[in-house]
Amino acid sequence: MTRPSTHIRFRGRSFPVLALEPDAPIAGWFERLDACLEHSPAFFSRKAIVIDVSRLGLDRDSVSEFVEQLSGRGVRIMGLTGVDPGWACDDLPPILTNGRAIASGEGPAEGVEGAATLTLDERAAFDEIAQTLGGGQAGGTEPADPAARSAAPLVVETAVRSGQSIFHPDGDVIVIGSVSSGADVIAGGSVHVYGTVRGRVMAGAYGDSRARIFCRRLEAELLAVGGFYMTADEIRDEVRGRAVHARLEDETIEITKLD
Amino acid sequence: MPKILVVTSGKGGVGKTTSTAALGAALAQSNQKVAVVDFDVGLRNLDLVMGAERRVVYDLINVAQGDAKLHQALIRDKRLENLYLLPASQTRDKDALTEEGVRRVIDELRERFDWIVCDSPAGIERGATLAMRFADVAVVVANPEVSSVRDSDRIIGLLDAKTEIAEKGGRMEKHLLLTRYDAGRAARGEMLNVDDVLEILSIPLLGIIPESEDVLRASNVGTPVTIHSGTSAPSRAYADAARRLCGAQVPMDIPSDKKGLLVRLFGRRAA
Repeated sequence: MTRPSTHIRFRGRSFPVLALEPDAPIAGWFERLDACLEHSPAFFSRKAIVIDVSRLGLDRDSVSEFVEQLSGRGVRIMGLTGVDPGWACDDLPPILTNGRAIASGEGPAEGVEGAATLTLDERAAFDEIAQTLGGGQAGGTEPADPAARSAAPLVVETAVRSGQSIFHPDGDVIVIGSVSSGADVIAGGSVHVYGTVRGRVMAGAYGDSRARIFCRRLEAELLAVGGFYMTADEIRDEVRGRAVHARLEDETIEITKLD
Repeated sequence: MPKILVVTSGKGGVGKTTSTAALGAALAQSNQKVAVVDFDVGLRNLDLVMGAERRVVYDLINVAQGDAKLHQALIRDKRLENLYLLPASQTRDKDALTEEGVRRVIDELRERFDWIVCDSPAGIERGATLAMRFADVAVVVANPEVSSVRDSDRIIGLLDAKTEIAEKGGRMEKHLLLTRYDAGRAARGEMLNVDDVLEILSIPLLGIIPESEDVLRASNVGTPVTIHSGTSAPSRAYADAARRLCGAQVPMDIPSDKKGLLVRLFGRRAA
């Protein structure tokens, strides 16, 4: 006898969203918003928008009114941040806390923050809106395409010691010393180590399968490229202790000697 | 300019306390004024190794908390008039130490001594981080085996991150003291050899202390090995290490006894 399943699936996940940060005076901000919407009316349609009202310093009733005014302009508000979490009620959007700004890259490849999730037209419109509404930084979205992750490399001039962890989500990591047993180096791009790797090295941590690992001497505990990993036991004897590079080929890590 | 030296290792039982006592005594023998400070609150040992356990009245915690004056807690060595001990408390735990308290004690010691040698507890917690907090020089003690070397590596990372000198952008001077080195076992591959350890830790070598019964014998009678048996191999190795700490160029003696060589020859023949 089978019983219908009573389970429903929940999972905590995080998604990049656009956060609008209106500033005072509120009337002026709406004027600029209206001007932008006239220019590209569909910009906010079908997008998840979070409103950060921390710059406005509104009380509970004015927030409610403000949300109403925005909804009337076709902005779909999925959440509200920058307000007292105690205000949560049915006629306000869900209140979000602990939001983190996504670091804006400096390289030209990043251009406008959030570029990767927008079409070219939208990107131009976003650029303009960000500038007009401006008042500082526009909230960004995280580029979903791993290829867009190309910030400046992180250069570590010393050894990475046991217990230390180097994390650079936006580009290559170059370590001039060794990576000790019990240390981690995690990069969105490739990892280059000019000493011995005895610890764990992960390249392409966000799924970039073109990332590679280079080192002068391989004694690693674990290597990972683009989410696929290999433990010390799986590393062949003929590459151990040698200068190598590792890359992903058909979902397996391929290690080749450099000399 | 007084120097604050921390003797640390991460792993327990590698010879921190023995080395603190031996280096402290060797520095005092070269006419410098030395205080050795036990940071192992709750598990104090330095007083035993120094043979001062029957003279402890006040301790580091009492001074750090302002309950006793520094001169009341300092115990003068009976053999070397330049050597003093600041013992740890056995009845308290490491949480009784605060950063401000330790800073005050160190500052006061700085005015009276040329060398302040801090004996760190094992581990990477509060006691160990406070022992290294105000140091300018670190002696990292390691045995030639993998777990000790990895723990030392971890400690070196902390020395470069959690100390005041590192936080101010300076660079902690670090030295490796390899203890309990058995040339014969290293030759047979039962221990890491000196080059392996230096390659992994990549800090300058201060000295290699050979495994010896003299060290144990000295500890048991409560005398630093450098005072107990001045001509023994470990004692000479510690004395050389102390001279190197003071900036002298002393050639490094890597222990390699004839017995080890013979064993290696026999080993080869048997194979």
